[in-house]
Amino acid sequence: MRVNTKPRIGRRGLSILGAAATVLAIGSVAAADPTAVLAPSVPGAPPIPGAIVDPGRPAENMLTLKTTPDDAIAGTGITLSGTGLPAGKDVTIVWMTANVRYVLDVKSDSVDYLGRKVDKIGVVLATAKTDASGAFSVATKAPKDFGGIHDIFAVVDGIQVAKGGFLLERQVLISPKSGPVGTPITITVIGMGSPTYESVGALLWDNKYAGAVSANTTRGVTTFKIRAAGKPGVHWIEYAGSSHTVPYLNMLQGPVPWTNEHLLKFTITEDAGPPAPWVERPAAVAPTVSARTTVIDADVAKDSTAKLTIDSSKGNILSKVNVTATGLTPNAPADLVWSSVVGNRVNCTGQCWKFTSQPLGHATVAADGSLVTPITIPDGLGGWHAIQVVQAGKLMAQVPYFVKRTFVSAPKVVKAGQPFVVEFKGVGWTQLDNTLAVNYDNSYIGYACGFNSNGYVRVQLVATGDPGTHLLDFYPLLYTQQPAYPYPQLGMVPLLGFGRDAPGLAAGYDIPAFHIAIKVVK
Amino acid sequence: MRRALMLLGALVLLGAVAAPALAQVPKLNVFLYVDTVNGTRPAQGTAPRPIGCTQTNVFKRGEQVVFRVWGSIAETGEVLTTENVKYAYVKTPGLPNLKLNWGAHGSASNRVWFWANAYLLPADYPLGNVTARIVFKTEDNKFGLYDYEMTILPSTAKKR
Repeated sequence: MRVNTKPRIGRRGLSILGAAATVLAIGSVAAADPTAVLAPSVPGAPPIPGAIVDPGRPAENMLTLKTTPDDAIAGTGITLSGTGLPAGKDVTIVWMTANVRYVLDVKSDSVDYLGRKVDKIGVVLATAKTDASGAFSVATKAPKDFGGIHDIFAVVDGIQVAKGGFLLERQVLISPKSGPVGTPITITVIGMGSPTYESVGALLWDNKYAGAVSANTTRGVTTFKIRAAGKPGVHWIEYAGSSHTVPYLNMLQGPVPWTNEHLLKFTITEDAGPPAPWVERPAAVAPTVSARTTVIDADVAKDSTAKLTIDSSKGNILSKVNVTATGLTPNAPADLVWSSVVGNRVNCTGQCWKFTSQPLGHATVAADGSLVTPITIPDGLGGWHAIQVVQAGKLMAQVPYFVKRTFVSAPKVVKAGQPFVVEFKGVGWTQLDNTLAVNYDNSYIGYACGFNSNGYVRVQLVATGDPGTHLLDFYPLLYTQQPAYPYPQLGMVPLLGFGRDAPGLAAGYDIPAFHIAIKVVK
Repeated sequence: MRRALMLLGALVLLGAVAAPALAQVPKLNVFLYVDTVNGTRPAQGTAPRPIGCTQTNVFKRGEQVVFRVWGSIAETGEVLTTENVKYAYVKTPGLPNLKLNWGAHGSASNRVWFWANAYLLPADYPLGNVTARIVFKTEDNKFGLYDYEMTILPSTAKKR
């Protein structure tokens, strides 16, 4: 299991200079500007359960609504009724819920993750009309929405004349329920909440912490996978309530007891040897944020009309990309340049990294002002970088390119007690992508960072446990340090639900999980 | 204190009073401090909490919500007592108004006077957030209002 990471030399009009000295230092650090970013559209996520509406204002003498049942899972038929209301009036049944967005600070030299923003909203769940006695009754279904208690108001002429409530219970389902070591287990959760202490799930496998799950941008619904680890026999998956990362173990004493653990049984049937390695990519979504690290529009020469296009906008290190530029100064030399950063976050005080520019090649522009050439993506940091074309010291045009995180190597067989190394490349430097979280047999054991080593990560591990198959899972991690912000959830632990709900999806960060296994021998 | 609040449990719902119309909020010139504690006598079938009379604003259906209020007249600092209060009650959606009573609570060596009374939350009371309004009017027509938010939970967590 090893990919070729040897640098290659480009051809056709460009002489790739490899890791030559930095030739340009373009750009400046943008001011911090935290923004609640629009959630990307994730396939299968439920829509807002009704038209957003002004929930009205409380009546001076508010009555109560009867909701039957008022504690059930999504999809359950419910009846809402009220009496003593104004007679012969149209009634809007308003279901109180929320929209949740992640807060990012997308800067030119990094992306910081600052947590979530919750906007409470009311939506129309149903409409009715009161009879001559002021009574009404309407049947509907509990929507697939964020879980937890939802206030419900009967609104007449903009006034909340009666108040009800409904507890949308959390469901946790697994499939399959048995299989050999390494079986991928799909876990579906419906009814994660929107408030802080209902919005995180913590997963335990046989009382070992595997990571955190969220469904902030998917209205409380998510699906993710873990793998069956351990010896043949019964194993327990606990999906526990959590506020930030780890389980909140006495939720029943808290104000949100419905987030208490869901306990599910999985039976490992056999150890049939290490399963095939597997790269798990997040859902393909359209980013909602256009800003990209190292791409600084203000650095482009004001009088430039040049355009730069590439035939693919993401790939691994050392990928070949065809570049086409137009509108350049004809018959003049041009440099193609890779924009990145260098530094680290360790013991960081002040400015701890800076922009760098790496030559990608040099050519003479054609008589029509065009330049067509292949380039090779450098073997360095992952994430978003600018490919730039420079003439006479001026930045003429640029385009963003995303370097994917890639698996490089791992041993297949290791003696018990022996150290071994798992290698990755294309690890990034922002708080969204500078680190990967490491699970050994579904137990979170630590993290590895790629910033100081320019995207190349060697994870140092020790083979433990009885002879047989042992699993290694490398998940995305939100690095909520250096700088640290108050109260961000989901930081510094495996982001098990990364495939459908992750802050980086809005900003175009396509960060996978890597699932491998080793055979431990005596 | 605990013994006194246990006695309050026996007074549940005895203090219903007629509410004056408050469509327009009057000028407020009374300071109020309001909190709630769990009563030690929940409805039959509702498990009592391990510790009673502790401050909380989260209640399960069937539990006893004990309101405790201290107040003074803004202008003079005079403490609100039966000597200067015309009426005092709690108004909660879907429940009868709850008259507040002035009395001493706590052990004989550490008695504290305040306004109090308790609701038993009905088994079908709506889940979620509810705002109770505490209303005081003094003999010389000074008003105090305080909106107090509580969260209502099911009586028991579902087995999962």
